[in-house]
Amino acid sequence: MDELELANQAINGNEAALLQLLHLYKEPMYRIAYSYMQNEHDANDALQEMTYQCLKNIHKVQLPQYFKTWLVRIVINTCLMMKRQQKRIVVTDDLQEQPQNMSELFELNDVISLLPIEQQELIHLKYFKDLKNSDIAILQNIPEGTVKSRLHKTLKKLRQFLGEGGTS
Amino acid sequence: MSQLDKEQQQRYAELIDSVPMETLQPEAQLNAYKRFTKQRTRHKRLIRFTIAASILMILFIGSIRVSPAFANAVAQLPGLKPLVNMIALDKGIEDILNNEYYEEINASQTIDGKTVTITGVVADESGMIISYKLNSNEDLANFSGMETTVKQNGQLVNASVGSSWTAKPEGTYEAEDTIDVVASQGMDYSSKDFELLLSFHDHPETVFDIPFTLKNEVKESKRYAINKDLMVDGQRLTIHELVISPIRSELKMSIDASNSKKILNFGDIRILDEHQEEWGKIKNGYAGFGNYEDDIFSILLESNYFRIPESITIELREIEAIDKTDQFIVVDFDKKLIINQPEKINIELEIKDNYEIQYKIEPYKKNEHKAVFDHFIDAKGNIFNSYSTSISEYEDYMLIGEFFDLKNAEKLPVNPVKLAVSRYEEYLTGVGRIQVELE
Repeated sequence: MDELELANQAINGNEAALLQLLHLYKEPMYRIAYSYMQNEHDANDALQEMTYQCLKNIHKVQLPQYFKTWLVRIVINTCLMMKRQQKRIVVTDDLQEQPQNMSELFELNDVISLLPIEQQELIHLKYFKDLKNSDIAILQNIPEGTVKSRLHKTLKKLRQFLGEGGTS
Repeated sequence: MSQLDKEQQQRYAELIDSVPMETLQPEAQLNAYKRFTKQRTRHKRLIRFTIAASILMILFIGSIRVSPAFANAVAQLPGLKPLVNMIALDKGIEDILNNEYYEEINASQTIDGKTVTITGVVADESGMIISYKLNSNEDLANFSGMETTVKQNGQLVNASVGSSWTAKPEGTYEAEDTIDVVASQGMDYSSKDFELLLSFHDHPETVFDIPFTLKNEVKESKRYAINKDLMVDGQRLTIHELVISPIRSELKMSIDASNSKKILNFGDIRILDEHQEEWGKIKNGYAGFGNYEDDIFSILLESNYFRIPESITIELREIEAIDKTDQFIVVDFDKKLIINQPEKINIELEIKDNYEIQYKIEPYKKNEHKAVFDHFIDAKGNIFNSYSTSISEYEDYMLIGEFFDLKNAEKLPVNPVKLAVSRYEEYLTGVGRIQVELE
């Protein structure tokens, strides 16, 4: 059964199909969570929370095509929410050992998380199961050209945040 | 520029790809699922015997069976809209409206910019249908559900209270729906003062508490003793009583313990009037009280209280049943061994760790997703219920996995255990039919 059919069954109340999908997307979900939460403990917590939110709110999805977009949004929202809550906790041990490329990922992500949610969504949708621009176009029901220009805009904004210029 | 875009995209993808996967805890998702099922079980207990399922269906079907003119006319009246929507699935509601057996209430409470209004109530001995309206300053699309309870004299009513919540489209600030109160022991109207307590899952700290008082006379249920046996395919069933209330009718039945077959499910029950026209049928969402093994169990049917026919014919169709000799598969979880599997039960069973079973079965003809077993009985006679089920569909078979609830058990099951078949697509031949004079 392909993903779209699984998604179709999932939103029609087939829990097994939903569980299968969640299993299928476990890794990309975890990767995104990790980039936001910046450590394995919180990333796993986030994975748990987002899985719960998916199970609880699957009835909100109306069309199987939107399942992935929806999932990505939950992933991002869950992480942002958890980070907001963490802000209230005083960090005492900030110096966790991280490999070099991970700190680069976190830096990049810190900037991404400043973008509006739609744009964060777009970025992650793109890397969520290797989506192509054409897939995103179908998913978000917009022309492929629009996807390109939106991605372009998003990345331009990103560069501004990163201080790499970009004033056209 | 575009070069840079690509690079940056590429880099982020690479970085994300290099996130160490060995740190992913496989329990994370399982824990979430456990938390979800636990909460759902709690919720399920509340609504198990209500017709909440049927209400859910209505919202999806949305077609109205009555003439559009009638529907339009009554939908204009305050509080009747959700009831009119119900007509699509329950003809009896149309009768209730036609006979104005509906009490306008119009009691409301406003907290933090959200107003809950009880617009009206249909009350009878079997329970109540409470129509309500929500006005919110917050988009209802962000709401995920609500909890409702009903009190009488400060005590919870002895009934299950079910409400359903369907996702609202964005930009919804007003909604109307119904809350179902189902009283298997009958409602007590010695005091007609009630309170509805309602809270949204998203704002659990805010509890709306709206008192309402019924003034109209509550129609008494009509009870018809039937006490007739009927034979279907050599199996004896007894129909004891038909209780007709405005909201629903209840068919009290029992199954002869000495039958050679075990009845698993009643797929279709219809009641016809003396003109052989359908008077009532099994409620969509199928609900009842009790288990088939009980001395008496009930099945809830549609009601047409205001049009009691002279005589009715009760028809039982699609009765799912298997030979009693086939009702158990005996296994040993420790040795992962199938000790005895009836030839008739055609599944490819595999025993896994942690009291999990997995089996392949031919796809059902009916479009249903139900597991074959709902509990097992261990060597000491303790019952362990099926706790979670996963069903995957493949081209020519379904793969079903079941876990059993051991968390609430005091002791681990003693092998060998008997897996009880609760669903199998085999039907009794023929239709069970009895005629009853009502007047």
